[in-house]
Amino acid sequence: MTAVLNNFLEGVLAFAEPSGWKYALMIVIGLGLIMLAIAKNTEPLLLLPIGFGCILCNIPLSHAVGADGFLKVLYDAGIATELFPVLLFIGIGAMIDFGPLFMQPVTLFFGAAAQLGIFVAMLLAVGSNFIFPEVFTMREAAAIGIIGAADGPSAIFIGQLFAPRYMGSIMVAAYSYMSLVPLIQPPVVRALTTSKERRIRMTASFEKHKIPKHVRILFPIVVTLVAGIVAPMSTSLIGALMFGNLIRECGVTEKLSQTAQNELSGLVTLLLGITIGSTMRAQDFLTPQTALIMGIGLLAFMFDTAGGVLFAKLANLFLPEDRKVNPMVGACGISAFPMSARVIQRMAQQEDPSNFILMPAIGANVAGQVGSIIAAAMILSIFG
Amino acid sequence: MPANDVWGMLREAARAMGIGIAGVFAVLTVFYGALKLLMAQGKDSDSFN
Repeated sequence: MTAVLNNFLEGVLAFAEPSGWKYALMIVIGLGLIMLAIAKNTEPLLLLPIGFGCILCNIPLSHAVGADGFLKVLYDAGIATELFPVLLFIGIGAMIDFGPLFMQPVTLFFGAAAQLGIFVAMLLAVGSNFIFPEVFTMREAAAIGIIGAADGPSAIFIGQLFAPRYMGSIMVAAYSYMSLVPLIQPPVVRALTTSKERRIRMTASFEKHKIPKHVRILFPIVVTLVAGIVAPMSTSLIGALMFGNLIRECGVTEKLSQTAQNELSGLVTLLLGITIGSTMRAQDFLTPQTALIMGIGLLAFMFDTAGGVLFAKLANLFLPEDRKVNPMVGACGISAFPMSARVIQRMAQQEDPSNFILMPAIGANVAGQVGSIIAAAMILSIFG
Repeated sequence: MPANDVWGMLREAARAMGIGIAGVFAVLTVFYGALKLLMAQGKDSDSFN
């Protein structure tokens, strides 16, 4: 009885210690994430498990994150080994329809241009060492830059390798800004485009032909081979994504495709979320570095958007009048799929209710998925 | 490179930026070429259908 009472008092008194308020604050942050997920329906599949994981790891003396705690076991099994992000990519691949990209392959380049934010964020993270000496190493700056990939699994993959101590901050920044794309992108797009540009129509090439099945089947295989050969470090990420896509498109593995899209991605998202949440320990998370990472992450998303839009405007200088692209589509080159495409379609219809650019926007958006993985592979190759 | 050599780190980051962006464009250009080729073949035949 006395032992039980002692344990109870230890747990309560931990909040009264000098750093006890930090645990309390982190529990409030965890509750806030859960509230956002439930009340505002903001990325609930991720924010709810992350919020709960955050609470679990900030209960003083929590056994959930101790040496044998289940969250530590999950972290070692799924994050430290990079297994969860790779499995999640199989599910994402099975969900992606590359059709809009096939119909207008030029949108692939928006998926490249909109990775600008990754590299700008990396420069900013390095530059912050001028103000806060030795705050980030080169590899940590690269991991912070990958927030600009707007792609959770890639961020986990690189973050775990290059900046394990900032994993919680990088994850929260990446997923928060992905859910805030409807707020982040429109001002940047409006600042860089004219009303006339935002009204450009680009439907013509989407009504010409249907996509042969062999293209859908060969594309994931060709991409895996090319990416694997020219950027071997991308093989597991791009390979998992394209494997998922192949089982979707081949037509003979419907059961596997459905499993990857539903059970696999649901299970991995659940485990990933709660495990990522468990990295948000007060002593690691409530630091000036977290604020810095959040700020740089926001700029990464803004520069991604700007990179895509400016590239589209540049392309328009060389394209004939009837083939000009709506520069807003460039902003969809970030990997936040399909939210970015929806945001841009909504903006296009605000300018002209009869303008329908959803298909090219989705094409650029899925190109962003591929582009972000290739960019992650470049970062891995350079700093790995 | 010493951790406090910020200019050196910036140079390395800028170099990585150049290689990274060029690399992403190069790889996606190969994908673009492959896709155009596949789509061009698909216009004449649709053997899987």
